[in-house]
This record gives sequence, structure tokens and C-alpha cells, in this order.
Amino acid sequence: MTKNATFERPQTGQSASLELTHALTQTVYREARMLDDENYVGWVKMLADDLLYHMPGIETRYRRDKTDQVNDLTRMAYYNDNLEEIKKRLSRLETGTAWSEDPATRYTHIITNVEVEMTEKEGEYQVFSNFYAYRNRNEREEDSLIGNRVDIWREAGAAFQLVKRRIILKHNVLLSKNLNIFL
Amino acid sequence: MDVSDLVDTTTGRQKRTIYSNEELYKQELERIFGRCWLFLVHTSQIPKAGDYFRTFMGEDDVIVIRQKDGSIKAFLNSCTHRGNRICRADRGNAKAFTCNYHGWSFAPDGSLAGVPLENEAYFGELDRSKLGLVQVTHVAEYKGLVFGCFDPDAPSLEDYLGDAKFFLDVWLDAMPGGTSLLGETQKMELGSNWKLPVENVCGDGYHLGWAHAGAMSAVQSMDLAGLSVGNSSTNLEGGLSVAGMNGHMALTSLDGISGYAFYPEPKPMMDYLEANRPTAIERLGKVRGEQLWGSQINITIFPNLQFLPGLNWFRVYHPKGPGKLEQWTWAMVENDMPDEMQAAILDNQCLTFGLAGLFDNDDGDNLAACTEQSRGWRTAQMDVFTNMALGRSGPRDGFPGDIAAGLVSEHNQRYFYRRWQEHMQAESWAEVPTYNINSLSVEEPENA
Ligand code: FES
Ligand SMILES: [Fe+2]
Repeated sequence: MTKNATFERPQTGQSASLELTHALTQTVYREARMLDDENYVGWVKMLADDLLYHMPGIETRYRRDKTDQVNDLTRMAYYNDNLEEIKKRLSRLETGTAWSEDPATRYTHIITNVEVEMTEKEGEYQVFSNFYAYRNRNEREEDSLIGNRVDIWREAGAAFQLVKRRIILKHNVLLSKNLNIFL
Repeated sequence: MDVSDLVDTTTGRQKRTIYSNEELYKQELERIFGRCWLFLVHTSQIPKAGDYFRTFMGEDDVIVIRQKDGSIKAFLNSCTHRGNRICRADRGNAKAFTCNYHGWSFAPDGSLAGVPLENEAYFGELDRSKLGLVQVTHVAEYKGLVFGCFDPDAPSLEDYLGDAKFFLDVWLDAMPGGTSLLGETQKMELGSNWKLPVENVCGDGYHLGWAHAGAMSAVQSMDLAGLSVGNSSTNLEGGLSVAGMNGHMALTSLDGISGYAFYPEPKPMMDYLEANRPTAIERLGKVRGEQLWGSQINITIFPNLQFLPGLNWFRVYHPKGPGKLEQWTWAMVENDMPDEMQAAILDNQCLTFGLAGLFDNDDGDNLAACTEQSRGWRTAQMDVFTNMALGRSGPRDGFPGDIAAGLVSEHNQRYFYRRWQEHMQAESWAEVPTYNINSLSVEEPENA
């Protein structure tokens, strides 16, 4: 619902200190572990109230086509959620009647290529990462979702909260029957 | 293959082999996808000359191109030299389509415009006029929806759609500004036979309260024909299952608002409906303007097009073998809707019927499993049933079609399989029956 919001924070391009880089790397690893464990109560605590969680849908176009399919938040997206909407998704699971989630999907999120940069805003950091999310269900259903993420994380007491996330999935045709997963 | 015993519409029975048999699938490509009018594109998706959109007709890769004179042509996306794919993008604008293999170049009207070394290597003897892109036999438009058909003997698009136009117009013609499809194409591969999602959306109101119980409790904001979480209730007066229109179907509620039942914040939509209700009534008449416009309506155009005014998703299923399909989805809007409402409609797909949508999560899982359970040696011989409310249909004042009460009925599915059987048995269009049961002579309201 966050239409016309701008995703980017003004960047300084300056990389963060070793200590900060370590702290944020640990943060995205911890987040991945919570998603693997379906610990959504813990995960939601890592999300800021003004969250924008965005995964644009990207068509195959020729290079000469300059349509901005990534930054334009008014275009089609697979996820374009604020915190309320994320909670709605989770509430479906909590009903106990989301039959297609039982038996549970087995998830592994592998997070790599973490880079942390300062932004112009005090206490907010840009974090680049790549993900490999593997899902397995029932006997032999499996699929892999691979892509890049650009996040903004904000200091919140001793920890950090996710303010913005852009997910670039590399699929054109989604080669699996749903996206019942947070990346 | 003789399919007379594979479907029995008088008892509502199908043999499961129709979801898994290779030979039947090939027959479907020939007799259904090779014969029927298939949705290609909405005119809003290729507004300017040179705009093109790639799609499929059955398993045939097709490119649809807006011409200089504004007309629309469609071609097989395959080079007439060695068969290479001409266009690799999903959509765009082009002055020419040049083949990557040896450089033959085709104009947007399909003609072969250039051949490298034409004089030096072909000695000027190539008859370019015979080597244009192969054109889809018929292309026609109905109020913004562009369809193509491979069969030279097919009826006109208008006749093919028949009385389904009564329902199509609830979206296409309620408002003077016309309609659009929004958004990049959401494509998803699903391990399901193509008939199962079509059957599901054309008539299966039964699954909503059960399969989608979790999703409904998460987002439902108003009543939908009494359907409730856990299938604990339904209101047979609240909706209609309409079939018997040349294989096309509609499943509709009658309250004029519940299309927006799965929008967490439907207030702006309610305001729009209220403000424009008089216009819709003027254009569509009282029955459709009051009872259908704004309602939850599932419209199915045989074989593989479905759209839901209200929930506002528009979808085609492309078959990819007996056990696989590709599902393509867009958001659909009326151009008179305010920008914020159009944005909210596009956005709602994220939560409901997009790839990450809560409802789609449920459906994909069930349809894939139904397909798998038709592949075994024993299961393939077993029956499945669509026999709910058998024999309980008839005419209804103000509506075309053979109609059963309520959204929960398997009436429409029986007609879907009847149409499937009619096409599969017929050698040619001449043998395919035409029927618009309880046809109304719909007075076409004057369009502004
Ligand atoms: S295959 Fe296209 S130019 Fe040869
Ligand atoms: Fe469904």
C-alpha cells in the first residue's frame, strides 16, 4: 500500500566499520534462522513499524526497453507490503486452517555477499545481500529461489529493525506453485 | 480417442485419465486449443503501433502486434527460415523483428523485409512474399479483448462468445471509459492439468469456505453469498451458477458489492460503486447494473480464460503437457476508476491472487495433488464427481443460461466437461453444437 514511496535512502557510499558490519551481518543471519524456524513472532519483532517489504515482478524485456521495472513502486509486485499486510499473511497461518501449510514446508535461507554501507540518516544502514532459499515439502516437492536484496536497517536499542527491503527474484515464470515464503 | 465414456454429464462423472493421458492431451491441443477462440491480449496492453505482446495458443508461441493502421495481427513466433524464435521478450515495441540466427528480418505486418546476402548467396531467387511470418488465421476483438483462432471454419468471435457477452459486458461495458489490464504478467508454473483450475474457478464455490478458510479469515471484509469460513453456511439465494452458453460460464453473487469482499479496506470501492451505479444501470439495464456490477463474478470463456470483476484478476492458463500448466495473471480495472483505486486493485493482488497471494497458495497445492492422483495405473481408471445439485437447474427471469441457485453447486463444472467432450468428439467445427440455453434477446443499451 505504500504507493509512491521512495525506496532509496540517500547513500554516502561509505562502508561501515568492522564492528557495525559484523553486527548487521549477524542480524540478517538471525533473521534467516527465524524464518527457517517459522519463528514469526520473533521475526515480526525485527520489523519496523514503517516497513516496506517489496518484491517487484520483472518481465523479460530487450535491453533497449528502458522501463524501470524495479524502482517504480506503482508497478506490479509480488510483495508490496507494510507491516499490517505482513501480519495479515501471518494471521492466515495462525488460523490453523491454512491446510496447504500442513504438513509444514521445510525452509533453508542461505544469506551471503553481505555488504554494509552508511546512509545519510543517522542510525540507518544499507545492507546488500544475496539469498538462496530452498523449500522442500511432502515427499519430493522442492524448489530454489535465488536473488538479491537491498535493505535499510535502523538501530533500535541494542538491536536493529528492518525498515525497507527490496527483493529481486531471478525468475520470469515462477517455477513453483506459490510464494509462501519470506525472503 | 473416443471420449464418450470418459465424461458423463448426466450423472456428473469424469474418468481421471482425462487429467493425465498423453494421447488425450495431444487431442486437446488439436481439437480444443487448435479450434477454439483463445484470448491473446487486451488492447490496453499494446496501445501504440509496433507494440507487441507474446503469448501462447495451446503450446504454440505467438506474437501479437499492433499495426500502423491500429488493427491487430498475430503470428507464430517462429522464423520461416530454420524455425528459430523471432522474439524473446515478453512485450515491447519494435519496428522490425530480426532473427538472431541468420538475420532475416520481419516487419510488424509479418512480411519478410530483409534477408542477408539475398543476392550474393540466394542469387536473388528467394520468393520473400511466400516467407512472411505465419499468421494466426483469425484475430478479432470484443470490446478490448483480443482473441485468436487457428481454425478457418470457426464461427465468428461474437457467435462463439454467444450469451456469455451478457456477463462479459458487466466488466467491459458498465462504464463509458472502457477497461484495462494492469501490471507485468505474473507467470507461475503449476504441476496441474489445465482443466482443473478452469473447473475450479468456473463453478467451484464449494471449495472457497473450506480450502481458503485461512485466507478468508485473514482478509474477508464483507459477506459473500453467505459463504463462511469452514463451509458452515451458504445462501442459495445469494448467487447463481450460470452455464449452457456455448461452454462459457458465470458464477455470480447478486448483491452488487461483494466483488470487494476480499479487500481489507473496501471503502473507496464502495464509494465508486455508489457514485457510478446510475451509469451502470443506464448502460446495462436494471438486472445487471444493480445485481451484477460490483458483485463477485467468475467469468469463464472456454477453454482457458477466466476473470473476476470485483476481485479484479484476469487470468489465462497455458497447457504445458497433461500434468503441467502456466498460469498468467493481470489486474483488471475500469478506466473510469480513480487512480488510487486502480493502484489499490493492483496492490491487492499481492495479498490475494498474486503469486504470493494467500488464496493462490491454497489452490495450487490442491490442484497439483488432484493431478498427481490421476496418474497411477489404478487411479487413472477411477472416477471423480461433479454431481452436486444435479438436475436442479432451469431458467431465471432476466438472465440467460441454464441456472442453478447459489455459488455452491457443481452445475457449471458439468457444463465445462460437456463442452470438453463435445469438442473432443467432434472431427470439425461443423460437428460442434451451438447452444445458448434460455437465450434472452438482450437489448443492447446505447453506448455513449
Ligand atoms: S532461422 Fe531465422 S534467419 Fe535462419
Ligand atoms: Fe480457489
